[in-house]
Amino acid sequence: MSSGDTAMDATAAPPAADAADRPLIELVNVSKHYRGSGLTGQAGAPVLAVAGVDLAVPPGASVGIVGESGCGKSTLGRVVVGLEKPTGGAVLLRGKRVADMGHGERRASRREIQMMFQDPYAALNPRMTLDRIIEEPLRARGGISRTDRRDRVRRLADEVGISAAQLGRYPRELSGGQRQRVGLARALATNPALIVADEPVSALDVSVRSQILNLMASLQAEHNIGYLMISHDLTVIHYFTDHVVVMYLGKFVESGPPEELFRSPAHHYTQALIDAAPDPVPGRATAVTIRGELPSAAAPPSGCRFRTRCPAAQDRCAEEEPVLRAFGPAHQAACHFPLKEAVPA
Amino acid sequence: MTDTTKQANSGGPVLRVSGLDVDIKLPHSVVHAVQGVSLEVSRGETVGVVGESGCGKSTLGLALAGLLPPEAVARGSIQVGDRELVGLRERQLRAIRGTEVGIVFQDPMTSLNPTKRIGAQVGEALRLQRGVGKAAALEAAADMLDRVGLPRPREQLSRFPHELSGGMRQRVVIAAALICEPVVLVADEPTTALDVTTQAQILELFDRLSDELGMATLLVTHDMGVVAGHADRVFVMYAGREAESGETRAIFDEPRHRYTGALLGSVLRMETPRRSRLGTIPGRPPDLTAPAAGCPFAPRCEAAADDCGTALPEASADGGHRWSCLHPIDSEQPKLVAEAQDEFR
Amino acid sequence: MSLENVTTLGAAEAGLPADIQQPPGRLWLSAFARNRLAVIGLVVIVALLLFSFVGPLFYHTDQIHTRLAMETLSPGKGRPLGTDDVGYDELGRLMVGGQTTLEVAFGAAVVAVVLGVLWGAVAGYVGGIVDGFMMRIVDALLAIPALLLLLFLATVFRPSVPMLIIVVGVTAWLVPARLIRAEALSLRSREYVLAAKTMGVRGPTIIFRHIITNSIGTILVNATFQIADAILVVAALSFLGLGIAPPATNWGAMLSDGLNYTYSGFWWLTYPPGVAIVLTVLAFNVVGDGLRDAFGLDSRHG
Repeated sequence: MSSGDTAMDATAAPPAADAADRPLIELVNVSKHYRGSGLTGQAGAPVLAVAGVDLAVPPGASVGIVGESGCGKSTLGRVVVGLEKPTGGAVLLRGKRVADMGHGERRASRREIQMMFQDPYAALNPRMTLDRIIEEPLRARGGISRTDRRDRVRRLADEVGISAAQLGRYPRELSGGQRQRVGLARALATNPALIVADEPVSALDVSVRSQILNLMASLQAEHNIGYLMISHDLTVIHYFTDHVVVMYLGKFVESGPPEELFRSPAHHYTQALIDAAPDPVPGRATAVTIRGELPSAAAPPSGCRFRTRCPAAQDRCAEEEPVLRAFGPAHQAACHFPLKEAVPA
Repeated sequence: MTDTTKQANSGGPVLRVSGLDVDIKLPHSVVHAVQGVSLEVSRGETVGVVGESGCGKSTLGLALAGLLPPEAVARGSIQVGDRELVGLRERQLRAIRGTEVGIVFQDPMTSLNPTKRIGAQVGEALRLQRGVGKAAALEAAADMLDRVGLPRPREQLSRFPHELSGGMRQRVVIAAALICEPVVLVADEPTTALDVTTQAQILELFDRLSDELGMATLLVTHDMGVVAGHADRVFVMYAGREAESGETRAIFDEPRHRYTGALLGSVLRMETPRRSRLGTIPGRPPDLTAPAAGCPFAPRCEAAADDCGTALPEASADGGHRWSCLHPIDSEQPKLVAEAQDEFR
Repeated sequence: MSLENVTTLGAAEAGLPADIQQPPGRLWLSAFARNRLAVIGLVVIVALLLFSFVGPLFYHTDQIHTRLAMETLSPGKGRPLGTDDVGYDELGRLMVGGQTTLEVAFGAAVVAVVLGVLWGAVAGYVGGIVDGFMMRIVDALLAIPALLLLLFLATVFRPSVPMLIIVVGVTAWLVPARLIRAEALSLRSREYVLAAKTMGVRGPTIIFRHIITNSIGTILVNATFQIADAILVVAALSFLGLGIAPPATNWGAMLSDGLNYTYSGFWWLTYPPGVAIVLTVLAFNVVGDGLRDAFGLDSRHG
């Protein structure tokens, strides 16, 4: 499993005869534009939220996407789950291009990838009771009798730790952690193969975060689901994922196994994130190792997008955009003057 | 990270809270948001108030800022310098807000008036409270904006908030809060809405300003990492009461209150072994409309004994380290954070 | 990036743990019940409904045959409010007039709200060209002065209760359409709507289950104001002589007839219907305000 490796010719891969060992979802050179909003109402410069990325998520894997606001990670998550169509590149589900699929086939494939949202207060319809909320994906799928649906809802609720008595309640009667559990149960209802979790624990109390993460981990073992976890929190990504991608202004700047990445990163942005992350150890203050502000996504810097804030930027960085190079098995980064030696390809 | 010897040089506390109770009247009940809180902050000192949702730390912050809503009733004492805040009328509080007590809130988007220019907003307190003229106020504003690290401060004076990024806006808010050189700064989750790299910059700013201006800072946050790196002392709250307080190092290295231990045990760190079973705190915070007898944490505490449910624990102290627990974590075997996590694996 | 931090609640909720028991689903009802003015308004409405529909069962008068010999008698024994210019008992007339007024008002409100909500919800949710097209139609229709349109429609179609309901409803649906479109625009990017999309829930189902149900507050509030407006519109139409033919009547017609006699001192011909109109409109407005406050509260907690 790797991301952004242009040597891995995903676009040229033949359609799979056996879809089972293909990555569940692949993004090939995917871009997503938004029409920028000029203040006077004219269409401003297009904002390239995601700029030509390649990502492959194998079944059952836990992949993380980390980055700060404006990096495009949420947009990427939406493209993966099908809420957004890419403006460039292709999305493949089990080896088949989504654009080539018929309406019904696309709908069916999309059900394999579900989403967990950040805000537990906005993720559930406040006017629906919990059982209806969890039942909704089953009703949408059709072909399941009411009694079967009810059974399944009860079982799902039980799995996530919501008692049957609570099923008749409304979301506002629950705590943030409980709502996230309901969100998880709902995501599991159609037996998805992948759950895209967009900041699943950021809005929760610290002691509740661990409950939800424990739950997600045990559900993964139980149902063999994969996770695409999107977060700004390095510790959560480090704890939960096997493979992480660091995004900056729409591009992948580094990817690899979290231990290696966070212990000895190659890219300066990754290092800056590590330095800035608050650590609950007294005396270890956060350090500011990058300067300045995020450039506008509508007018990203030439060459390497990170160069305006990078402590190691030089002339070459403005002229030439760095490509992803290998720094270890499965470890890649795009930088002209990285923090460590690249491994010959 | 401020120098702990500073406390010895700074003279007596400029913020003294004694036996503060805050009740909030709801249509059918009364929420006892803050119960019997006492704390002191000296010049140049930063005290981090931590706790999870419903612990009352935000209410405490509002009380200190003189911003409690009409349905709140405060009893006890809050002394800023030699002025008593409890019992003051709105008119009197208005005179203190911004001059004696500066306030910084979480969301820089809503803390600034989108229709007023930056210069006017930063200088507002000077003009209203100190009767400073327009030109002089703008001059002082430019000065303050420079101090908070805003690039090209004079240019920014005539800009509007939406033209700045989140981090810059928060700097503006801080400038506005400090322009009258208050003795106390109350910051309620000042960096939670910011990116992690921006957060590091703002926290560094707080440290520097605390050294330069010598105000007493109350940093209200749920983030243990922020507190570990930027607070001299920590005040842990649970269910409206003080659970434990003391120097940062003491709290993190040798927590005494069971809640503090459990909280620290559930915090994710980079060192947390990947996919290990995380520490959690079972149950939910108590209902503050009907405080039960005895220790509020007892229902969720693994070490709870019979006497915990009957009597409210008196505070025990060891030097500057204070805790309200009848069966505290054993002081003869001080538990480090990592060891506490071992227990839950 | 801004996080929806659970600790940034208003002070009133800052110490409020999430497990405080909330009455399931009826938070707005209790908030409404606390608003004394709104409850009084509701009581007035119920009283007027009873007066108009149940009253005639207890107070029998002949509202079909005119009795010119009995015309314009002042209030006296057996005639609490006197008689009108063709001999009908005024109190009885008030009841019968109330029936028509309230029927048309409720009916027109239902037509306007149903039409407007569907139009606005679809436009707001679908967005893009469809939204633009649908809302340009609304804009164009709004540009036509409603009263002129009403006069035109009322002269073309023979006035009857159903006809009045349609005529008034058709001119009134534009406002709810705009309101609900605004709601739909804001709701369609809510996470629970996105979640429904990822589940494969189809558009119309999403519109009903998620968009419209979460706009109930706005819809109800607007409905009450629609009723109040409809009463005034019908009164205006009757005033201009375009109401329903006798012996049917409504408060507006009664008022307009009665005004002919202002200088004759026959106060019982003008004040009763006038007061009835004002009272009803006020009551609905007050109830509408109360609902708006109650739902405003609801959406903060929900």
